[in-house]
Amino acid sequence: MDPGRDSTPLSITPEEQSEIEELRRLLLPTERARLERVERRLDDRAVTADQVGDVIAGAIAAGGARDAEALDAALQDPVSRAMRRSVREDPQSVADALFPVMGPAIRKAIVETVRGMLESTNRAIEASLSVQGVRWRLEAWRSGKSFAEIVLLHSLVYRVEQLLLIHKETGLLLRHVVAPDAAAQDPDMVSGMLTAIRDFVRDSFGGKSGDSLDVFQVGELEVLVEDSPRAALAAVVRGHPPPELRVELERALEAIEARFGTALDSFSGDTAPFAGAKDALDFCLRTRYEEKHPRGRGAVRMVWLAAAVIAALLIGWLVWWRADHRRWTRAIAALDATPGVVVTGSEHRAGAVEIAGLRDPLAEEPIAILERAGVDPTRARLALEPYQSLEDQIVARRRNQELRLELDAMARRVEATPILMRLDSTEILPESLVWLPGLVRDVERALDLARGAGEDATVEVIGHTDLSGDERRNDLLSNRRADRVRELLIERGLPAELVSTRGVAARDFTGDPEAESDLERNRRVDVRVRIGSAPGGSTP
Amino acid sequence: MIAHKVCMLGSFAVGKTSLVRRFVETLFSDTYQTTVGVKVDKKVVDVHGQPVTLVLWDIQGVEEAEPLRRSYLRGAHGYLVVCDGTRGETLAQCLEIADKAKVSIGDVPSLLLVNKADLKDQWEIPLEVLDGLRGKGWQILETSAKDGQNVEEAFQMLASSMVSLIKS
Repeated sequence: MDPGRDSTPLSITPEEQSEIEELRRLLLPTERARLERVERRLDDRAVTADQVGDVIAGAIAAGGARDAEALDAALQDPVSRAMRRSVREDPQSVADALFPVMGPAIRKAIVETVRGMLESTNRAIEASLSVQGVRWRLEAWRSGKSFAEIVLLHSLVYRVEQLLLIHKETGLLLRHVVAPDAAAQDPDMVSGMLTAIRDFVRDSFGGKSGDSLDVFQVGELEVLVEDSPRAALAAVVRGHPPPELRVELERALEAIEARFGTALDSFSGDTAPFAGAKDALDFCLRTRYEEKHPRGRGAVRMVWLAAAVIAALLIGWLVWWRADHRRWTRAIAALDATPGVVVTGSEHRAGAVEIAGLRDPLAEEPIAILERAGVDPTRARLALEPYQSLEDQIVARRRNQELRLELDAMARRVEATPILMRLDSTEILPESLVWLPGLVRDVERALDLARGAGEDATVEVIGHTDLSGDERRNDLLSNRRADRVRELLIERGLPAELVSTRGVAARDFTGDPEAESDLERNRRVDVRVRIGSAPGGSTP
Repeated sequence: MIAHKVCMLGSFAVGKTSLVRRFVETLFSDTYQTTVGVKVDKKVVDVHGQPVTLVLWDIQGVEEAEPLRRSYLRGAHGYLVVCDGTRGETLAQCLEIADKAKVSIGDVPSLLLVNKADLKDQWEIPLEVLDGLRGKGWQILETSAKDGQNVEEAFQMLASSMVSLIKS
């Protein structure tokens, strides 16, 4: 450009300027109108926003195709700022959005952790209770390993300790995963040598080109190798892997082939693209434990059985002991509630039950009460001191007893007062007549006492004869004598319905048949007060 | 992580195994070479601040194991071909082996190592011959397994050429 020409616009006068404007208007009318429209559009913010909104999505899509990195860089800051702001201002909605992703992941992690913990704890507990457990403990002590490790080694069915994902053509290791605590040699070299050995085996023994060494065993380890067109997956397994494991390896390798096919094809030494294969490999890295330990389980079962029996016996004894205790408590309460018995203390001692207290002699027999309450009275050691109870029932019983004693005395007195009669007559001897009023009084008193004691009482009048005269005559005489006395008694106020008579002739004769005094003593009538049952004789 | 497969080639008893023994990590015993025909070792070198794992396939002298050779060469990213400076015929064998390797694995970075540089006064290979080969594009290093001369450098050079191939 020529600097001389650049200075020309500065020297234009206002007149020249307006002329030029006029010229422009005349020469370019439509262009000018369009220019003004464009200016307006650019100045109007609302119009601009609308139009930008229309094209921005298209612009991003087009930019993404053309220069993805520049677009990513440009968007990174505003997008992350917007996200930070969103998290700050409304954490809940962000949490809600993330929930479907985070929930299962967290759950899985927790479940895995807990399961691992439970597995090792269960195994250790199970093993420590058995004979085998003791043997393993010895082995742990001898080998210097931890007990848990020994248990793990023995109860293991199989454990995938290492997985090597190998690029088939170069024998280079693409990815290596190893179980926690599993010993692993340098995987790069192992991968190479494994490939070399497989090549060697195929070259030496393989028939068809597809044949390959896909399994070999070394001591407790078994190495499974699964091939795909571009990769090989070697699993180093401790123990005896089931056929399903090979299927799982196959699946994992298929997934890797599908996902990393291009990277496998163009592999030139950079293993970084295969970092994503870790998940598929980790899935195969698993451990399976023995389900049954015939010996260990048996011993454990025995221990449990013994414990169960002991527990059952203990529970049974406790139940019986409680029931027994409860029965005794009830029995002792019944004893205490018995009129005339006071229990001051009781104690169970070596199967026996010691009961201390007081007992009125008129109270019911304690043994009977205990028996009725359902306990074995022979187990009771009773130490009951005698006392006089003031309980109504006992007071009544005591009074009754006194009445009975007086009644008995009165009845004996009546009995001891015979009414003597003349020979072959119903005439009462004068000395007996003297006793008669007293006798009547005693009989009345006895009847009163009996009534007071709640007893039925009757009066029996029995006529006797001496040995003279025949039996039939004596029967008649003895009956007449009894009747005579009955009349006298009724005359003097005894209730007729209570007085019965009978004649026994000379059948109850006592004394010497030759002695006149004894004969006289047998010509008599006895009066008896009968308590309880009705008299045997007849009542006219 | 960058890893490369490197083959060690050369005639019998040229000192390949001694050459690597002092400079690499080894897991396997030397008997592998005579039994399986190859022994895998590892060497990690640093290229522009990045570690590069070289997995070295030390392949048994080729004359005796002709049919095995190809599968061991497969996929190699580079190779070292070793001859014995005190035995002139080994250079010719080396060149032959290198030709065969080129057919098998293509034109990958390679180095020709003339070993036993500590016995240079006994060499049968004239230095002019080596210069001639250099003129034809061969990268050549004179090495000694005994005093370690140029061994590290050899691995380093090969690693650098292989890495620059990935980058390009």
